[in-house]
Amino acid sequence: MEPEVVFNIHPGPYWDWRIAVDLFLGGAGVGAFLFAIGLHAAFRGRYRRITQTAAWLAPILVVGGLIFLLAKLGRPMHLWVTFTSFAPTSPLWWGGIFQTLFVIGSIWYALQWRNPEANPKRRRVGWMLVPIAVIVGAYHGLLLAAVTARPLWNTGPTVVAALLAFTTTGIAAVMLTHLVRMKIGGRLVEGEHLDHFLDDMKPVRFILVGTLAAQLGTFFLWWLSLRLGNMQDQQALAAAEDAVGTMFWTLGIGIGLLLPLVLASFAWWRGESLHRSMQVRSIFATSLLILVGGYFFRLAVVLGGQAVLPVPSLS
Amino acid sequence: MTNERWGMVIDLHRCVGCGGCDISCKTENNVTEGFHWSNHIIETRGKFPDVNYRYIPTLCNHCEDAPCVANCPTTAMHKSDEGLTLHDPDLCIGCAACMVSCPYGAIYRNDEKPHSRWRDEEVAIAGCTSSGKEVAEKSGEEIPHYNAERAETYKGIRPKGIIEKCTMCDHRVAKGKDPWCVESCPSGARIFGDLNDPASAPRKALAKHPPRVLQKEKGTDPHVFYIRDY
Repeated sequence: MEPEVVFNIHPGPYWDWRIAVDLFLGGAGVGAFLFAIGLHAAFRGRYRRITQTAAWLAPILVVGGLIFLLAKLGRPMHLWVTFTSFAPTSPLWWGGIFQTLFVIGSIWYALQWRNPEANPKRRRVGWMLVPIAVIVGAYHGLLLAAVTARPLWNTGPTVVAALLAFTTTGIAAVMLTHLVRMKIGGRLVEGEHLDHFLDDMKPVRFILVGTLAAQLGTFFLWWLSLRLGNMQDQQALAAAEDAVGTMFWTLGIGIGLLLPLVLASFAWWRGESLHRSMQVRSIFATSLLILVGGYFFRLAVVLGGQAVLPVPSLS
Repeated sequence: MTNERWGMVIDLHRCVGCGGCDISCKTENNVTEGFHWSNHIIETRGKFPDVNYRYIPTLCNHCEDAPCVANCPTTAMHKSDEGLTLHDPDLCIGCAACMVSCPYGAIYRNDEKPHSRWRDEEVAIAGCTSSGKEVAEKSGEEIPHYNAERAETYKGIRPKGIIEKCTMCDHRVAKGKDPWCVESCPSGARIFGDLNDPASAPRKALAKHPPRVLQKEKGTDPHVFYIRDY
């Protein structure tokens, strides 16, 4: 028979919404950058305007995330110590190094997009930054996955989920920002500009539907590996579902994945037959839902992973 | 590099669950309210009349393969040559990676300036009792029971923003003394010594009784062992 713990005081949960915002914005920033590179390369510069939006958005989002991370540090002004230390076993140390490199590189890359004309130097540096961006994206999953004390985080699908989540939230952030940019510029009215915008969005829908479906599959595998795992895995999952289950399933999966998947699939399926204003609204709604859900998904994972008290098993 | 590997054995049969270790640790290490370097778990098992009660004193396990050390981005959390898991306040950025990494919940962070009780100006009975602030001022220390010896190897009182944890009283061990929780235990349930020395008290206890550790499955190789039962 399992013991009933009647006294077991522990600090925490310790990482809060600020860590979730860092993971969310950092991931979206990396996603936006890779989206910019991928789109520009795959379509040979055909979608320059949206690529420009993505390139600008990337460093802004990553730096925004880092500001929230700093807000959670006990001694933020002491952060420089990380860069004078050598701690190769710490994902946080690697994250600090690579995020700094990424921020510097992506700011340079964004500045090169002031002029959207073809620029071979920009292209070269952009490709050099791709592996760093992937490492930074993976780091946002590894940071949690490396914590062996937290069974909810300490799984392979955590990293895969982070990689997929940064893709979808990155794309959504770019779409939404580009839409706002068009609206502010007065270009979101029937005519040539709107045609261009909807043309820009064609490949995006395709990428988005595939990634959202893959993300859904990864979450199912994650849930299944914990549900069928050892006693600690099951206890961690039960504690997380008790603490943040509603947030995870309703906002994270329902609002952030299922609904956008349905909307994006519908828009993709109907294609040009859908009225233009409906196409714009569908892009707006899909992006917003992915972003809202993406944040709450991370919040649920950050808080849920800390929900379980360590099992006092003596063996 | 020394040959010592400090460790502790807790004899649950001798432990009476008085909590003396928890209190003595607080006074020795100037530990603030709400923090428990020395702590305990109480668990019950079964249904009346077939019930079982267990009181498990806990502390930092000073793991050989400490996840708090592995995940610290600044090497503030580190292993000493004698196997103790120690913390360097000067390197700590307060990221709490060690806290979330510790399977035992043995690490705390000072989100506020510690020992607020001794800055409190409120009195229980006006004109009769002293406030915490008055008592601290009279003592001439930040806290009246301040133990200056603690500051020999660690910050005497850890400031706001950094984490803190059990050091197995490394300031005492350096002078050849036992940790204060070991000395304070009225039933001699805590046995401290060099795990590398076959003639040491903990090694003898481990040879006599089958040892157990907390959360063995985590693979952290703890240096705090438990023998026998309540």
